[in-house]
Amino acid sequence: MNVELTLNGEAVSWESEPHEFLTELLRRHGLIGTKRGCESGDCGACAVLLDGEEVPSCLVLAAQAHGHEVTTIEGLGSWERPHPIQEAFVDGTAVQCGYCTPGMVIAAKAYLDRKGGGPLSEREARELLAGHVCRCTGYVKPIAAVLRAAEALGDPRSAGEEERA
Amino acid sequence: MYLSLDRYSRPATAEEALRLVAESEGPAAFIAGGTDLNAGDHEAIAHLVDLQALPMKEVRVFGEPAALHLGSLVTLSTLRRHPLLGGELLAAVREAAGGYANLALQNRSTLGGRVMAARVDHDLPAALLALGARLHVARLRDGFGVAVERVAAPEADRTALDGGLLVGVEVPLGEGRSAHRRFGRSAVDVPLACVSACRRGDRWRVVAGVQAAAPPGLRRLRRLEELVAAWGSAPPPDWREAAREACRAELPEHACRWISADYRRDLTATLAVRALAAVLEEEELA
Amino acid sequence: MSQDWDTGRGSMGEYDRFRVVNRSRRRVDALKLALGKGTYTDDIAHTIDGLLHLKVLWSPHAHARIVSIDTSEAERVPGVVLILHHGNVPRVPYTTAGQGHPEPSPYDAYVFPRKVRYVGDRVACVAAESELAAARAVAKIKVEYEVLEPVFDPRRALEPGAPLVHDEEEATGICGYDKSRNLVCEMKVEHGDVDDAFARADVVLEREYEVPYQAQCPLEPHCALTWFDEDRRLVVRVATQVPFHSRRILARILGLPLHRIRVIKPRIGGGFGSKQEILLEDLPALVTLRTGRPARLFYTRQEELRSARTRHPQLLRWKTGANRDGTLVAQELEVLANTGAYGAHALTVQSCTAGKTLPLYVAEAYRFLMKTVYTNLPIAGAFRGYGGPQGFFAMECHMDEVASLLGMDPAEFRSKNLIGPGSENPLAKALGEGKEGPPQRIRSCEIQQCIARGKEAIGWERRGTFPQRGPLRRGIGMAALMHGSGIPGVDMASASIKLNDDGSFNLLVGATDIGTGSDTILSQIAAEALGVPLEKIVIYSSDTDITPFDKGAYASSTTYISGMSVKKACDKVVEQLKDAAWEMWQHAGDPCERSSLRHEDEHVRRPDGKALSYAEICLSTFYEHDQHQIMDHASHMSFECPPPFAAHFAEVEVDTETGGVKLLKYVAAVDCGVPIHPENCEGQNEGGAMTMMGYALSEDFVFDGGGALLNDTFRHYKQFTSLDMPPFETILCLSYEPSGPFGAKSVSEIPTDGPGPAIANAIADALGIRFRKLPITPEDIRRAWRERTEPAASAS
Repeated sequence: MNVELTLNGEAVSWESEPHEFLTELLRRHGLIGTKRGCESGDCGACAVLLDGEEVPSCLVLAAQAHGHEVTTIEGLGSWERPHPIQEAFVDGTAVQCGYCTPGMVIAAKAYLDRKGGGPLSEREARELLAGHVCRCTGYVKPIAAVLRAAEALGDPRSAGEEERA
Repeated sequence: MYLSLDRYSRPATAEEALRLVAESEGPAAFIAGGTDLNAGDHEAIAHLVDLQALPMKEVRVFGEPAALHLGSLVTLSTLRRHPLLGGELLAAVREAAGGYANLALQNRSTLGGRVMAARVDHDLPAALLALGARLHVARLRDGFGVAVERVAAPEADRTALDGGLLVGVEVPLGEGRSAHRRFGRSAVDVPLACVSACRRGDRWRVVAGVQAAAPPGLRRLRRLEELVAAWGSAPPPDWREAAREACRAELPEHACRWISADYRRDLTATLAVRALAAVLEEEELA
Repeated sequence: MSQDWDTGRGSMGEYDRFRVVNRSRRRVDALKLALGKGTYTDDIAHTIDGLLHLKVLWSPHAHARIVSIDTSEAERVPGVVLILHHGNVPRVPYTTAGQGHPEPSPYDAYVFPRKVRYVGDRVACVAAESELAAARAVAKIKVEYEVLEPVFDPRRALEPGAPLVHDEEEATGICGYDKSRNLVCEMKVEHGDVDDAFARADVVLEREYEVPYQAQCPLEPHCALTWFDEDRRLVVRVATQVPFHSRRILARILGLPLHRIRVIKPRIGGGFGSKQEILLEDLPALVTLRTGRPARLFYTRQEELRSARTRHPQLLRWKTGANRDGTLVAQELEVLANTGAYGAHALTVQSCTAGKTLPLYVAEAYRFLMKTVYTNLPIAGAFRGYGGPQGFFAMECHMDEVASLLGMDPAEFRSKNLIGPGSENPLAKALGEGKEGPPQRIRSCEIQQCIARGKEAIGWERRGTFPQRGPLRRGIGMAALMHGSGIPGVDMASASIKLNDDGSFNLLVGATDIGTGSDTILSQIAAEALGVPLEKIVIYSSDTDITPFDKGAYASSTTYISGMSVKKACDKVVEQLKDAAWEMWQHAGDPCERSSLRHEDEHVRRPDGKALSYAEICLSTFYEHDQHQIMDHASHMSFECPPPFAAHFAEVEVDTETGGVKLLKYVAAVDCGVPIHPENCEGQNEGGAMTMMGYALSEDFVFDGGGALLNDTFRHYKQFTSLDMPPFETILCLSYEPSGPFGAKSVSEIPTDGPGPAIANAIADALGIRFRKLPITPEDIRRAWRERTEPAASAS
């Protein structure tokens, strides 16, 4: 069967099988920023945006994603122009082993997009990360990074930056 | 990650969906969000029938007296934040939906999935039962087409749903107030126990849900409901103790690997008192 | 050699001159990881043609002899290429513990055992063209078992007539190998006249404590890829903390010359000790050797929880003798530990339970008695903290109980008895790494500062003054802690460094960054030593073909041991730079005094202001004059093991109706010497503590009656989440450790020691009820509260 997606803004059509999950489909095609961590939707390492909403790609069959828009961590920022959320994680020493980081960045992106501006509370930052297991950081610095990113994105200058990117 | 699926279908109508399952060669199952797919026990499924193309995502008010119709593909995220689910009456639904796992799973997990497939997590079914919801179940009619039955949200016995497709849920609207309370070992957990309480005028419904996969699953606490109803709007000063005792007396003996029967009963009674307090608008612990 | 027991304070002058260390620079790998580009072990799998996928058949029984294995039906599953089991793989006893040679762990494991010893033991392995085909074939392997009676309770395991977990001839290294018992190892250590000291003490208190299994839960599950390179050497790309030990142990069990194996450590998604095991790379390696094809094994989370490694559960008995004035007189600790089905790390973890704890308080006499036993439960092993968390839970709860008995403030009681600068560790010799250890004397030690600043941050004076609010009760508790920095006299690390013609350096280290930040920290140390910005260091770590040896990422050794090897290598390169500059000036007819040369800002400088940049020096030595490559290497081993110190404080609110505990605030004050990267030290502190908050309150293994783990998913194995983590304050209490690189000691493991006792002590403060068993569950609390407040209810 063929799975057609709008992947990071570009149309793709990939051969797949009914039992294949989206995580594996993406990884098979080199999108290795999406990680496999628990296979039950509880760790967040495999998070991607499906039609703009954060979902665990380990619980989405590739076939279920057919006809939808998928954004992965690879679609968020680049070496030349990292996304402000990625910058905030890097600057805030919120990246330790890094296995959870793409999922956390995706979660923050989804939440902040939906919220559409305005100040982010610490409680909200904790909630949006609650499905993202991290055994390294103790969440202190990721929470701070998300708050910092929200502030940066609320600043019209960096928001403009993002639009160009 | 090792589903043995041979076939995936995405029908456009309920009839097509029901036929695909009925006529499937191997074991077949419906899939809504798919959040239970990897939880084991699915190795035998050969054919998944994806319901995503069915028109079951609507949230609307209809009829007289008014009822809220929720399509079974409505996600838990939608239940948490849809404007039609604001207000005091539906607080239990919002709270039950928001307690499930994490935001990403709430984006995928559906009302229908939680009612049909929930194995250990009874938050949303408890809230729906407390609100007196009715389920709309579609079945193939002999010959052609489908018929939709309206059945009361079930407690432990789910046979009324067997062989059917849950297309939506109907919640009677009107004056009232509800609350849902749950307790787990961490902030993101399958609850060890949960309770939904709903008051409409002088009628009460209190429903306890427990983690166990086996019965009792959900239980309406009818004697507690009667006791609280009898108090009217002026509960006695010692109502908490009375409610706690009524609740303990009515809950079944049910232990599991995680907690003892005694603690489960005690915890459920505490949650019941707190849910009642929230509905009674009494001061409650944050 | 005369010992200079400098306590460090005299050397602090250097502190003000740091330019790169003691600064929180961007971690060298962070952007790559945040962009999703970090290539972990499995991230190249999609590029490997002809890759075979492996799935393991795990034992469904806790204890059973394998009578027969029938693979005929499994072999017919389309895509199946090879099935391995005990009948077609040589039986070589070894230990999965990835330790130095010779490992102080028994050789009691086999690639495939003939007798399975826990639910989750290896039975067979299928290699197939896809994971699905392998999984389907695993389900079709028919195994006949002779089911044996299992033993789950460590006390029962020692009783005569108990089922024997290891009753086979080949195993070696099991303590006094005695087939009539399940004893893996035993220790008896005494210092001073213990019985006399207890007899003289004014008060004696004895209590028992219990700690559970805990899973490491690295977010990246175990994974290994293997293939033959163009020279038909075996390449093993594996998520490991110990690439050099992996190579050595693989050579043994595969029967392959060591030089035919290359182990590559790519990016690692956390280890926490579980990747100090040679856990799975032997299976794909065997498949590659037999088929010539590349092979891959990736554990699911369920496999990770059931069949990887865990923290040793222990029963502890602590006995303290003290005088009325609050002076400790004698301490006795008895440990009965459960290593599960195999004895990886059985001796050393338990020896650390005493070695990290007992010396923290000065007493006249100490006794440590330890037995570790086999049971038919999951295998324990290395886990961040390595025996410390178990011991500190018992000791630091016990110290609160002793203080209470004496009517003293727990912080004051501790302060009165703590070791300090100049103290000798009376147990260092007896508690070495499976052999006699070198003597230890404390140099840098700011534990009193940790306690003082921690008390202030938590608001210690509020203790006991909280008003009751409905069913809610508040309390504050603390714990004092110490750990180690490397294994003295054992751990060795090395580094090599070479100069490039733009003045940058390639730094090759055997040290293994598993998410700890060591690539950054070692680069900082190199940059500081060489006088260059961090960007001028290009680090490459852990590839047995390319980098020099390192013991691996464990025992809190990377900053202290590996860091020193980097500093030594860089110091030697600085001398070469000065030699070359001196030679260049000499050659140019502009000589200078060699001893007057300084190095800073990427230049060798003369007192008269003339300078040569490193780039100029490199270009000259490459192409012009006295041509040679400026490069050097160094190794480091330390007989010293300077402990970091810490004081942890927790404030809790207990809901006495549900038994739920809410952490309101957590303070961890730590003396890790000079923090090389302060924010990274905070991160280590926060993450280590968070892991153990789960140990204190929510993490546990729940087994069914047959020994199978029931909570084998993240849905049911409850770690702390971002919503559970309380407001957290790290206080870095600076000291300068003279034996460490730029004054640094370790920081990664000490935070794991504190939350168990600090939280238990806070709960005891809140409720007046002492819990001596972890995790302290809501049900435990509720039951104890009801027994206290409704005696009638508890009788029913």
